[in-house]
Parts: sequence; C-alpha cells; structure tokens
Amino acid sequence: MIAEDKQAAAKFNKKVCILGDFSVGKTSLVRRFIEGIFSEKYLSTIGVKVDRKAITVPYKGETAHLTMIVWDLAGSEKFTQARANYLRGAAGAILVCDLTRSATLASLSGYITDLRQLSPTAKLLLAANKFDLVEGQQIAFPQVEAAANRFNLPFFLTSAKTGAAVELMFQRLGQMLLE
Amino acid sequence: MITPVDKELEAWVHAHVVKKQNIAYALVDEQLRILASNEALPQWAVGSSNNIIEQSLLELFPELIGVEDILRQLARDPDLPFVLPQIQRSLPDGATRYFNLEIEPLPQFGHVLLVIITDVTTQTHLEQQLQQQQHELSLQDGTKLSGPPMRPDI
Ligand SMILES: Nc1nc2c(ncn2[C@@H]2O[C@H](COP(=O)(O)OP(=O)(O)O)[C@@H](O)[C@H]2O)c(=O)[nH]1
Ligand SMILES: [Mg+2]
Repeated sequence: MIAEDKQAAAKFNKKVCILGDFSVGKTSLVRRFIEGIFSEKYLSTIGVKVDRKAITVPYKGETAHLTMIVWDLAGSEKFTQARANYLRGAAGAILVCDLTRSATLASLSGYITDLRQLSPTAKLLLAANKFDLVEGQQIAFPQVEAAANRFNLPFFLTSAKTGAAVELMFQRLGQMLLE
Repeated sequence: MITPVDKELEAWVHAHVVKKQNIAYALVDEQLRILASNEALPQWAVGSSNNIIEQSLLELFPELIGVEDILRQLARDPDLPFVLPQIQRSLPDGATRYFNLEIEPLPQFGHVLLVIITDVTTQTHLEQQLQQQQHELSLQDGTKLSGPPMRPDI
C-alpha cells in the first residue's frame, strides 16, 4: 500500500461552484485564476461555464494533484430544479460579494442555504471582491469579518483586477477539499 | 387522412429531424462509458477525439464530475431525467455555444442511460442580451440610489 502511494501521487477531481449576485466578479475571479487575465468589460453570464485547473496541494505529507472543476454560474434569484442540479455534487464553493454593493453581502446567506441543502459536505469560503476599488466601498472590513464568522467561513479580500489574494484563495480551498 | 408511410422513409425522416435540430446523443452503461453515439456528439465534447466509444462520459463532459453517483443510481433505479441546461462551450474558433444536457434511464434496455444534447445557442444568446440589459440598468439605478458609503460597524 505504502509503496503504491509513493509511486503515484494522489489525484483528485473536485467540483467547485462560484456563487453570488450578478456583477460581483465571479467570472472575473475564475478568469484570473484559470487564465491569469482581467477585463473591465462586463458580459453577464448565462447558464453555466465549467473550466478546469490543476493545482498541487500538500496531502498526507506528500503532494497531491488536484483538478478543480470550476463552475462559473449565473447569479439567480429563482431556485429551480435545474439550478439545483448545477449545485449537486459540489465539493466546495466560493461565495462572492462586491465590496462596493452592500446588498451583495446580504444575499450570500441564501446561496449558502441552497448549497448546504444540496451538497451538505461542501467546503465553503467567502471572497469579498473588488478590494482594489478604494472609492465607493460600501462594505467595511468588520462587516465582512462578521458575516464570515456568522457562517463559519474563512474569508479573503480579493481583487480579480490586480489578482490580489485570488491564487491564495483557490489554493486554500484546494487544501480544504482534501482535508 | 393519414396514409401509412414505409419504414425506410420514416427512419430517414427521424434521422433528418435529429440532424436539423443539431441533436447529439450517446448511450452509456452503468460505468458511464460510451456504448454508442451519433456523429454530432464530438463537437460538444471537451478535447474531442475521433474515437469516443468506450471513453468515459466524464472525460468528454467534465460538467458531470461530482454527480457520478447520481447517474449510476439513475441507471440502476430509473427516475426522472437529470438535466443541466445552458452549458456554455467555447469553440476553438472563439465562438460561444450553449447546449442542454439531459440524461435519462432506458430501463427497457437494462442499466443504460441515454444522453441527449440539444443546441440552444440561438435562444440563449437572445436571453443573454436581455439579461445583460437588465443587469446594466439595475447597476445604474444602484449607483443613483446608493447614498454615501456605509459606516463600518463598531
Ligand atoms: N475594479 C474591479 N472590477 C472588477 C473586479 N472583479 C470584477 N470586476 C468588474 O465587475 C464587472 C462584473 O464582473 P463579472 O466577473 O462579470 O461578474 P459576475 O457577474 O459575478 O460574473 C466587470 O465589469 C468586471 O470588469 C475587481 O476585482 N476589481
Ligand atoms: Mg459571470
């Protein structure tokens, strides 16, 4: 057994959903993580786009190869059977709010409820995005912290534009997925 | 009055309609390996190769990673179809297309599943444009209505 483990590094495929209201930066965070690029242009997502990225994660004293199957979803107020199927089988999720729109933080509890109902073991974390926009911030750090504590989630202040904390956040989620 | 049509013509019409609608399909076994498919399937598959028979459905459609157990269960224990609507695919030429993925059990043929893919690119593009306008308007309203930035909690 041990010899086998040493021979081939462990490999995992895990589904991760990106959730949050429209225009909070879900697509931009995914593009930054997968392709390393950012665009100012807003193109609203419809349905779902699935991308993959392989990362390495420490695992049982070794290095595991983890392929994240990233689901970039359209934010939606209505919860349909089809939308439920989008969330099924998720091993993890990133809940995204936009620091320049306070309502987007309040919305997160709805997404958390849906996800926990359909994928109870999913590991979640919170991304407070657009950290680079110093003007127009409507959500202050203690509010993000309070929300994260309330739902018991790790949180990151991210910017898809500068790339701040994006890689770190996905890496952290990767570790959580293998815990 | 309905006149009987011969079987050959009927089969041809069926095939023709499927082709016109750009419908792709595959049959998979309980292990989610492809048993059969039509020629329209590879265009929707990820990194499509010419021979997809015996390949895992999960490799061709990574959208199904995570729900393997649900699908195997569906093959053994027939239930309502599993549907994933409006999946986006970027083609090598840069175009964006959308498809609905529907997987239904075929209990009359054993523990197999029928995977049906329908092209919904045209209507989804229209829906996208409408949604884009709504979102942009709502964002503009938001900036008009929003007052000064909220003060941090004490
Ligand atoms: N300044 C800034 N703009 C961002 C950031 N993330 C996204 N945006 C912009 O916000 C808009 C919506 O982004 P998008 O990723 O489409 O949001 P989605 O609807 O949640 O997928 C786009 O115009 C992006 O360029 C960020 O971190 N900083
Ligand atoms: Mg989007």
